[in-house]
Amino acid sequence: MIKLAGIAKTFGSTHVLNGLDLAVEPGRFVALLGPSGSGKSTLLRIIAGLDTPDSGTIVIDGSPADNLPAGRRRIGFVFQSYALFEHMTVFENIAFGLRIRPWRQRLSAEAIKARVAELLYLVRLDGLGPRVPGQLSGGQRQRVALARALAVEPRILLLDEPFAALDREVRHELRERVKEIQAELRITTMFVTHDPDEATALADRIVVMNRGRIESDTDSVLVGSPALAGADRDAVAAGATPSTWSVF
Amino acid sequence: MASDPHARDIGEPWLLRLVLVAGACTVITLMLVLPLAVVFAEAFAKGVGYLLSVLSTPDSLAAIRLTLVIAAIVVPANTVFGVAAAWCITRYQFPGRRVLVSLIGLPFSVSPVIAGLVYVLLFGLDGWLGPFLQAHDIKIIFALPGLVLATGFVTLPFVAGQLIPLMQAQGIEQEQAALTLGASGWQIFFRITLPRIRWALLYGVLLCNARAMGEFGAVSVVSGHIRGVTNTMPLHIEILYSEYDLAAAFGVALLLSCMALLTMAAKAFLDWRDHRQFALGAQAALVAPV
Repeated sequence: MIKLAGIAKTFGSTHVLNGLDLAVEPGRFVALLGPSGSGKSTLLRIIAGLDTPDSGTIVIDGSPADNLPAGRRRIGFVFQSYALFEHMTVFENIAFGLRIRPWRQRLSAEAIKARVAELLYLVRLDGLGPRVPGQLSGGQRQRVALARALAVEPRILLLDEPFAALDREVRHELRERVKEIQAELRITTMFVTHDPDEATALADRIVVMNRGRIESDTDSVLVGSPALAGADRDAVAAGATPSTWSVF
Repeated sequence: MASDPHARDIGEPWLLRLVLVAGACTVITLMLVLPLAVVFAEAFAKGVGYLLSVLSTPDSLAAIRLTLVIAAIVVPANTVFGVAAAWCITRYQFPGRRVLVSLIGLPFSVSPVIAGLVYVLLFGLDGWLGPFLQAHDIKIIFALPGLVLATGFVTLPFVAGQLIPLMQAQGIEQEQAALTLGASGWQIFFRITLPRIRWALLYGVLLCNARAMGEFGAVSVVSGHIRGVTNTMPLHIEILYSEYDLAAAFGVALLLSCMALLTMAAKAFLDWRDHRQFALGAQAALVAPV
């Protein structure tokens, strides 16, 4: 559960976010839709802890996260440029978050190997572990970034314009993959897009942003979709009020 | 350069090309190759035995030792400073950032002699801090600390100057990605930042080292030219030369030139390696399935 209250952010004299409130239930797949400059990427970065808001509070799973550094929020972030570690192999990229843990919490080398293999299978990149990012196509790079973010078992997954840099065909294929993965892991996911089709194709809730404010907030869940069933169960288990879904 | 894949024939007349190439070759021969050849020829003019005897006099050995000691202090110090400065400047926004960038470049635009004089005015007997230093028996000018300070000032921009544009171009997204994966500041520096800047860093260190060993002007002002004590190799060469001991002067010059040539060779190797890696990367990208 993510709860944002009164989030405001200014860069110089530009108000990027104007006292924004938003609550996201566990397991949901939320699209932040809006034109460029509407503050959606900044909002995502604030949730991840990569930017600090000027005012407002963030509560994640019931505990305040305002002073929690990015590294301890357990939020997976996929950058628009993917930000893969170019000097490491695909395997090393995905294993990075597991290998840097303090040794008491670290998995054994075999366990890390097994986990990376699992993730490579999840994103359908089996066997590409020894490659370096420079040898991958855009779609493959994006999936490595996704696997790397998922490796540390984040509570929330944030994707900043995840498909913007891909050509049409790859984009459609990857959308489906990401949707399947989200449904399979039932991880709370938020992604930023400026493409309404992409938002409807993927998300079960669409938050439209404009000039640092929420313009509309629509549930677009198809009744009986696995994503909803999963989200519903989790939300009820977590004691969330089901009022948001009373429409169904 | 027929082997360079980036070179393109843009259709100049062959005569113009010939004139340009010949002109460039003449200038390089006159200004770079011949002087270097003279150093070698003069150094060996009185035979290898004499060359070795010149290099093994107590004064020469002291000069060689002093030059190496200065470089051993200045190069690591400026490496740490350069990395720290480049990190601050490219990773944080703070007031005075641009001023700091300009300040780091200052030693390139100020004459080294002035740099030396500034330290004399500051730390010398009649300088601002002179009475204080004398009262506490601290010697800076005409001693090793002054030589280190002057050399450090002159070589300050080399490492930072290599790193700042590179780190600016690289951006901070990979570091931020590591941050969201739970990496600490040191883990990010050693596992992400350092591997990405290591070749530029090494390049900067090599240039810094070359200059630290070869610096004359600033060092000359603060040295006091005490033979066997505060004479570095370049200063020693000048003294030998002004005493008309040409063979000895060129002997020490030969050794200094060899150090510089070694640096050049290391630099050329890095360039070649970068080029090769780029070519390999491009090749690999072509065969990668989409």
